[in-house]
Amino acid sequence: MAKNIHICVCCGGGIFTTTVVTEEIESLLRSEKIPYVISPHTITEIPNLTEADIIVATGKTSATNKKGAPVLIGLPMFTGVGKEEFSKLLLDTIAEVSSK
Amino acid sequence: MSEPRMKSDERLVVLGGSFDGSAEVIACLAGLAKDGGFVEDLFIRKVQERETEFPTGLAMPVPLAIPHISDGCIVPFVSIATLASPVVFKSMDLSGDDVFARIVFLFGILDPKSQVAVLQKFARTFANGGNVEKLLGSCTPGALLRELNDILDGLLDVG
Repeated sequence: MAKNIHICVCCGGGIFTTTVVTEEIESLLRSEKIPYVISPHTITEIPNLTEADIIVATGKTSATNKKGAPVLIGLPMFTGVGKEEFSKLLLDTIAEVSSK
Repeated sequence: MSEPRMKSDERLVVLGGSFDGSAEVIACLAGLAKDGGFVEDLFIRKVQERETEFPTGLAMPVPLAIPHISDGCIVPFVSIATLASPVVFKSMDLSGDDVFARIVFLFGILDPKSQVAVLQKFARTFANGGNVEKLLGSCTPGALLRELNDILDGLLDVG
Protein backbone atom coordinates (compact mmCIF):
# COMPACT_ATOMS: atom_id res chain seq x y z
CA MET A 1 0.00 0.00 0.00
CA ALA A 2 1.24 3.48 -0.81
CA LYS A 3 2.65 5.42 2.10
CA ASN A 4 0.79 8.53 3.22
CA ILE A 5 2.35 11.71 1.88
CA HIS A 6 2.81 14.17 4.74
CA ILE A 7 2.24 17.76 3.67
CA CYS A 8 2.89 20.62 6.08
CA VAL A 9 1.08 23.86 5.17
CA CYS A 10 2.69 26.99 6.57
CA CYS A 11 1.59 30.63 6.69
CA GLY A 12 2.40 33.59 8.92
CA GLY A 13 0.04 32.77 11.74
CA GLY A 14 -1.11 29.28 10.75
CA ILE A 15 -4.73 30.48 10.72
CA PHE A 16 -6.48 31.99 7.73
CA THR A 17 -4.36 31.21 4.68
CA THR A 18 -3.28 27.82 6.01
CA THR A 19 -6.89 26.78 6.62
CA VAL A 20 -8.03 27.68 3.11
CA VAL A 21 -4.95 26.21 1.40
CA THR A 22 -5.22 22.99 3.45
CA GLU A 23 -8.86 22.56 2.42
CA GLU A 24 -8.00 23.05 -1.26
CA ILE A 25 -5.07 20.59 -1.13
CA GLU A 26 -7.20 18.00 0.69
CA SER A 27 -9.85 18.30 -1.98
CA LEU A 28 -7.21 17.81 -4.72
CA LEU A 29 -5.62 14.78 -3.01
CA ARG A 30 -8.99 13.15 -2.36
CA SER A 31 -9.98 13.53 -6.00
CA GLU A 32 -6.61 12.08 -7.07
CA LYS A 33 -6.99 9.25 -4.50
CA ILE A 34 -3.59 10.02 -2.97
CA PRO A 35 -3.28 8.95 0.70
CA TYR A 36 -2.12 11.91 2.77
CA VAL A 37 -1.54 13.45 6.16
CA ILE A 38 -1.73 17.25 6.26
CA SER A 39 -0.99 19.57 9.15
CA PRO A 40 -1.03 23.36 9.77
CA HIS A 41 2.13 25.22 10.77
CA THR A 42 3.74 28.65 10.68
CA ILE A 43 6.52 29.70 8.30
CA THR A 44 8.99 29.97 11.19
CA GLU A 45 8.64 26.20 11.76
CA ILE A 46 9.84 25.27 8.24
CA PRO A 47 13.45 24.29 9.10
CA ASN A 48 12.37 21.89 11.84
CA LEU A 49 9.42 20.11 10.25
CA THR A 50 11.04 16.66 10.37
CA GLU A 51 7.78 14.87 9.58
CA ALA A 52 7.25 16.70 6.27
CA ASP A 53 7.56 15.06 2.85
CA ILE A 54 6.52 18.32 1.20
CA ILE A 55 6.10 21.82 2.64
CA VAL A 56 3.62 24.30 1.17
CA ALA A 57 4.27 27.87 2.32
CA THR A 58 1.94 30.75 1.51
CA GLY A 59 4.75 33.28 1.27
CA LYS A 60 8.12 33.43 -0.42
CA THR A 61 10.70 32.17 1.99
CA SER A 62 14.37 31.42 1.84
CA ALA A 63 13.95 28.94 4.70
CA THR A 64 14.99 25.41 3.91
CA ASN A 65 13.98 22.25 5.67
CA LYS A 66 16.73 20.45 7.60
CA LYS A 67 15.59 17.11 6.21
CA GLY A 68 15.46 18.47 2.67
CA ALA A 69 11.68 18.46 2.10
CA PRO A 70 10.83 20.61 -0.94
CA VAL A 71 9.19 23.96 -0.17
CA LEU A 72 6.44 25.04 -2.62
CA ILE A 73 4.72 28.43 -2.66
CA GLY A 74 1.00 27.74 -2.30
CA LEU A 75 -0.60 31.20 -2.38
CA PRO A 76 -2.44 30.26 -5.64
CA MET A 77 -4.47 27.77 -3.61
CA PHE A 78 -5.66 30.66 -1.42
CA THR A 79 -6.84 33.04 -4.10
CA GLY A 80 -7.57 30.53 -6.84
CA VAL A 81 -5.34 32.52 -9.23
CA GLY A 82 -2.87 30.04 -10.75
CA LYS A 83 -4.55 27.13 -8.96
CA GLU A 84 -4.30 24.74 -11.93
CA GLU A 85 -0.57 25.32 -12.34
CA PHE A 86 0.05 24.90 -8.63
CA SER A 87 -2.04 21.70 -8.52
CA LYS A 88 0.07 20.21 -11.30
CA LEU A 89 3.31 21.25 -9.56
CA LEU A 90 2.12 19.69 -6.30
CA LEU A 91 1.09 16.41 -7.95
CA ASP A 92 4.41 16.25 -9.84
CA THR A 93 6.31 16.86 -6.60
CA ILE A 94 4.31 14.17 -4.80
CA ALA A 95 5.16 11.72 -7.62
CA GLU A 96 8.84 12.66 -7.34
CA VAL A 97 8.93 12.33 -3.55
CA SER A 98 7.03 9.01 -3.65
CA SER A 99 9.44 7.50 -6.15
CA LYS A 100 12.45 8.08 -3.89
CA MET B 1 -18.75 22.03 19.54
CA SER B 2 -18.07 24.35 16.67
CA GLU B 3 -17.88 28.03 17.43
CA PRO B 4 -20.53 30.55 16.36
CA ARG B 5 -20.66 31.97 12.84
CA MET B 6 -18.35 34.86 12.06
CA LYS B 7 -20.04 38.12 13.02
CA SER B 8 -20.00 41.62 11.70
CA ASP B 9 -22.20 44.65 12.13
CA GLU B 10 -22.44 48.27 11.03
CA ARG B 11 -20.30 49.46 13.96
CA LEU B 12 -17.40 47.47 12.50
CA VAL B 13 -17.48 49.17 9.09
CA VAL B 14 -15.67 52.37 8.09
CA LEU B 15 -16.45 53.87 4.67
CA GLY B 16 -13.95 56.10 2.90
CA GLY B 17 -11.57 56.31 5.84
CA SER B 18 -8.38 58.40 5.66
CA PHE B 19 -5.40 56.83 7.37
CA ASP B 20 -1.71 57.52 7.61
CA GLY B 21 -0.26 54.05 7.23
CA SER B 22 -1.27 50.44 7.79
CA ALA B 23 -0.81 50.52 11.57
CA GLU B 24 -3.37 53.32 11.78
CA VAL B 25 -5.99 51.36 9.79
CA ILE B 26 -5.42 48.28 11.94
CA ALA B 27 -5.62 50.33 15.15
CA CYS B 28 -8.93 51.83 14.02
CA LEU B 29 -10.54 48.50 13.06
CA ALA B 30 -9.18 46.67 16.11
CA GLY B 31 -10.43 49.54 18.30
CA LEU B 32 -13.93 49.18 16.85
CA ALA B 33 -13.78 45.44 17.59
CA LYS B 34 -12.72 46.20 21.16
CA ASP B 35 -15.57 48.69 21.59
CA GLY B 36 -18.00 46.04 20.34
CA GLY B 37 -16.74 43.44 22.81
CA PHE B 38 -15.25 41.19 20.13
CA VAL B 39 -11.64 41.31 21.38
CA GLU B 40 -9.47 42.01 24.42
CA ASP B 41 -6.59 44.50 24.48
CA LEU B 42 -4.19 41.64 23.74
CA PHE B 43 -5.66 41.34 20.23
CA ILE B 44 -4.89 44.98 19.43
CA ARG B 45 -1.21 44.54 20.30
CA LYS B 46 -0.77 41.10 18.76
CA VAL B 47 -2.42 41.90 15.43
CA GLN B 48 -0.02 44.84 14.97
CA GLU B 49 2.98 42.68 15.84
CA ARG B 50 1.87 39.99 13.45
CA GLU B 51 1.44 42.49 10.59
CA THR B 52 5.01 43.66 11.11
CA GLU B 53 6.41 40.13 11.09
CA PHE B 54 4.03 38.51 8.57
CA PRO B 55 2.29 41.21 6.53
CA THR B 56 -1.10 40.59 4.92
CA GLY B 57 -1.27 42.77 1.80
CA LEU B 58 -2.67 40.93 -1.23
CA ALA B 59 -1.92 42.20 -4.76
CA MET B 60 -5.34 41.26 -6.10
CA PRO B 61 -7.26 42.96 -8.94
CA VAL B 62 -8.37 45.38 -6.21
CA PRO B 63 -5.37 45.52 -3.84
CA LEU B 64 -6.36 44.79 -0.26
CA ALA B 65 -5.09 43.64 3.13
CA ILE B 66 -6.38 41.04 5.57
CA PRO B 67 -4.82 41.43 9.05
CA HIS B 68 -5.95 38.55 11.25
CA ILE B 69 -5.06 36.71 14.43
CA SER B 70 -6.64 34.58 17.13
CA ASP B 71 -4.85 35.92 20.25
CA GLY B 72 -7.24 37.95 22.39
CA CYS B 73 -10.26 37.26 20.18
CA ILE B 74 -13.50 36.65 22.13
CA VAL B 75 -16.04 36.32 19.30
CA PRO B 76 -15.06 35.59 15.68
CA PHE B 77 -15.64 38.70 13.57
CA VAL B 78 -14.61 40.74 10.55
CA SER B 79 -14.30 44.52 10.53
CA ILE B 80 -13.89 46.40 7.27
CA ALA B 81 -12.53 49.76 6.11
CA THR B 82 -12.81 51.16 2.61
CA LEU B 83 -10.10 53.76 2.07
CA ALA B 84 -10.35 57.29 0.67
CA SER B 85 -6.83 56.86 -0.68
CA PRO B 86 -4.75 53.69 -0.83
CA VAL B 87 -2.70 52.70 2.21
CA VAL B 88 0.56 50.78 1.83
CA PHE B 89 0.74 47.28 3.32
CA LYS B 90 3.62 44.87 2.70
CA SER B 91 2.73 41.85 0.59
CA MET B 92 1.70 38.60 2.23
CA ASP B 93 3.92 36.71 -0.21
CA LEU B 94 6.91 38.04 1.78
CA SER B 95 8.44 39.46 -1.40
CA GLY B 96 8.84 42.80 0.35
CA ASP B 97 6.61 44.42 -2.30
CA ASP B 98 4.22 47.22 -1.39
CA VAL B 99 0.50 46.64 -1.83
CA PHE B 100 -1.57 49.83 -2.15
CA ALA B 101 -4.67 48.60 -0.35
CA ARG B 102 -8.05 50.16 -1.17
CA ILE B 103 -9.97 48.05 1.36
CA VAL B 104 -8.93 46.30 4.57
CA PHE B 105 -10.63 43.31 6.18
CA LEU B 106 -9.54 42.70 9.78
CA PHE B 107 -10.45 39.28 11.16
CA GLY B 108 -10.57 37.78 14.61
CA ILE B 109 -10.63 34.02 14.25
CA LEU B 110 -10.81 31.57 17.15
CA ASP B 111 -10.96 28.13 15.58
CA PRO B 112 -10.19 28.31 11.84
CA LYS B 113 -11.54 24.79 11.27
CA SER B 114 -14.99 25.98 12.34
CA GLN B 115 -14.76 28.82 9.83
CA VAL B 116 -13.44 26.98 6.77
CA ALA B 117 -16.49 27.64 4.60
CA VAL B 118 -16.61 31.40 5.20
CA LEU B 119 -12.81 31.75 4.96
CA GLN B 120 -12.87 29.98 1.57
CA LYS B 121 -15.63 32.30 0.36
CA PHE B 122 -13.61 35.31 1.50
CA ALA B 123 -10.50 34.04 -0.30
CA ARG B 124 -12.46 33.69 -3.55
CA THR B 125 -14.00 37.13 -3.01
CA PHE B 126 -10.59 38.77 -2.65
CA ALA B 127 -9.57 37.47 -6.08
CA ASN B 128 -12.76 38.77 -7.72
CA GLY B 129 -12.20 42.43 -8.60
CA GLY B 130 -15.85 42.95 -9.58
CA ASN B 131 -17.11 41.82 -6.19
CA VAL B 132 -14.64 43.97 -4.27
CA GLU B 133 -15.55 46.99 -6.43
CA LYS B 134 -19.17 46.44 -5.42
CA LEU B 135 -18.14 46.72 -1.76
CA LEU B 136 -16.15 49.88 -2.50
CA GLY B 137 -19.22 51.39 -4.15
CA SER B 138 -21.46 50.90 -1.10
CA CYS B 139 -23.04 54.10 0.21
CA THR B 140 -23.66 52.97 3.80
CA PRO B 141 -22.12 50.41 6.20
CA GLY B 142 -25.39 48.47 6.10
CA ALA B 143 -25.34 48.33 2.31
CA LEU B 144 -21.74 47.11 2.33
CA LEU B 145 -22.57 44.31 4.77
CA ARG B 146 -25.62 43.26 2.76
CA GLU B 147 -23.57 43.19 -0.42
CA LEU B 148 -20.77 41.27 1.30
CA ASN B 149 -23.09 38.69 2.81
CA ASP B 150 -24.73 38.16 -0.58
CA ILE B 151 -21.29 37.44 -2.04
CA LEU B 152 -20.54 35.08 0.89
CA ASP B 153 -23.84 33.24 0.44
CA GLY B 154 -25.11 34.45 3.80
CA LEU B 155 -22.35 32.75 5.83
CA LEU B 156 -21.72 35.91 7.87
CA ASP B 157 -23.85 36.65 10.94
CA VAL B 158 -24.69 40.33 10.46
CA GLY B 159 -27.23 40.45 13.31
